Amino acid sequence: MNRLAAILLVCAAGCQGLDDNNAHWMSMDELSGMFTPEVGSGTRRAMAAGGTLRVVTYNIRDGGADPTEIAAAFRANGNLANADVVMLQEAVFYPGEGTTRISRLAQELDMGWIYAPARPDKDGTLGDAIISRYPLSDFAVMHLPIAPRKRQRIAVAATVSIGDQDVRLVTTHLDTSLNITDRVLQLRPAVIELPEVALVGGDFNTNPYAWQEGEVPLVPTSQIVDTDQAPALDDYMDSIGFSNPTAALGNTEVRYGIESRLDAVFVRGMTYGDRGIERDVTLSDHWPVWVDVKTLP
Amino acid sequence: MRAAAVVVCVALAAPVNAQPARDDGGEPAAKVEDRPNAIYVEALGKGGVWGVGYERHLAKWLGLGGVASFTMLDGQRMYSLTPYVLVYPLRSGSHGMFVDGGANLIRIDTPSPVPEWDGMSESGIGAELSAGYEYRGKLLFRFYVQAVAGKSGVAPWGGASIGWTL
Repeated sequence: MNRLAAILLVCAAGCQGLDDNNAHWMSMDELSGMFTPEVGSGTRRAMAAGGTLRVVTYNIRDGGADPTEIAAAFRANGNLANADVVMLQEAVFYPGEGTTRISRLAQELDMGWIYAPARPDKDGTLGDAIISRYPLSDFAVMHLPIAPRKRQRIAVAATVSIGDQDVRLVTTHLDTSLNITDRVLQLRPAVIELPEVALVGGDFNTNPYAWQEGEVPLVPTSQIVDTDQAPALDDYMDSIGFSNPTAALGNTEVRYGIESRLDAVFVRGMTYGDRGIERDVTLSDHWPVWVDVKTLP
Repeated sequence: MRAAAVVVCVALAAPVNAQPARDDGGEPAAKVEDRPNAIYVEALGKGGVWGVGYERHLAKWLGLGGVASFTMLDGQRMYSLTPYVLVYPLRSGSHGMFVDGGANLIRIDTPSPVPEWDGMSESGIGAELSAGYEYRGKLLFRFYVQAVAGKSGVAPWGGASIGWTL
């Protein structure tokens, strides 16, 4: 009987899903040490009421190109040059560089910023960031549920105001080889209790495959039955009131010649207008994805 | 994946020491016509991750079979059924090269892990074509490469089987 109990315990341990990690929003003063976010202010005042906010999400890959190069690419692109908020994933900080790359990018674009580390990377950190032309406030960071044998993922939140209306912004970068059930469970804590007017953007890694033990993509299965996680995550977010105006724009990332729709901007409590993917910006395996949003009168 | 590795290792080890299969009385290798049925388990292959198969030979060079599997993928339930026709372009004693082809039926149920979402289900039918090596005595071993085709395209795959002939 003791042997049977031991076998069952081992099986249960090996069969466990995400560790919910007590995921909850943490304010700035709850974060310390390596996880202390960096915040900086821009020079502009708040957006006037009725204004249109252009929000971009962009995975800059492994810390990204030099910040001046990214800034130049944004200024040279007619759509990105008008970006008001940019959500960035795979941002890095290495002490030898003196300042965070996000701070340098933000200052190049005359924006305020928050950079939140998710985990150690070499002698520094890797994480996510939000930069904005308009003042950001009410910063928070959440350590998302961790999948077995995977790395810590986070969500970063801030508020930007359009007139007297607050828009809650959240960016995140989810794990790669998760099945859709675990992907929903990893994202859920960051979106389930947001205010009515909210925008969630980032790299959701909604790849086209089902995965065996988070290691093997069932590529042949995906040829026969639809295992694409992007519409499934759209469906989940729709169940809590979010629309995805970027869904119909197509794939957002290319690697080894295979394109996938990994990135998205989900919107709730706002209207949306023009949107696009800037595929001529090739500083990363991802392309910048943007959408214009307005608060309801 | 560990189960798959075990099946592959066992199947790799056996033919190294294989003699033409003999029964307890030291009689010659079992003939297909004497043992036309086979049951086997697969790693990867027609079931995607694993499968259980049954096959019956209608002639020395021709067989019909099917592989079924059920796999849990972090709460998702994947069901697979692959009926197939198998032929032997080459055969010598217990060893042969085989080719098989058939339909691949898959259903994936995704129960919602959260109360606010309904979950979803998807089904599809495709085709598979496999070719490989077989050792067939009282025991059955196979290794093969496979092409799987469906509405989204074609992908390579492969598998290994171990079983018994009856």
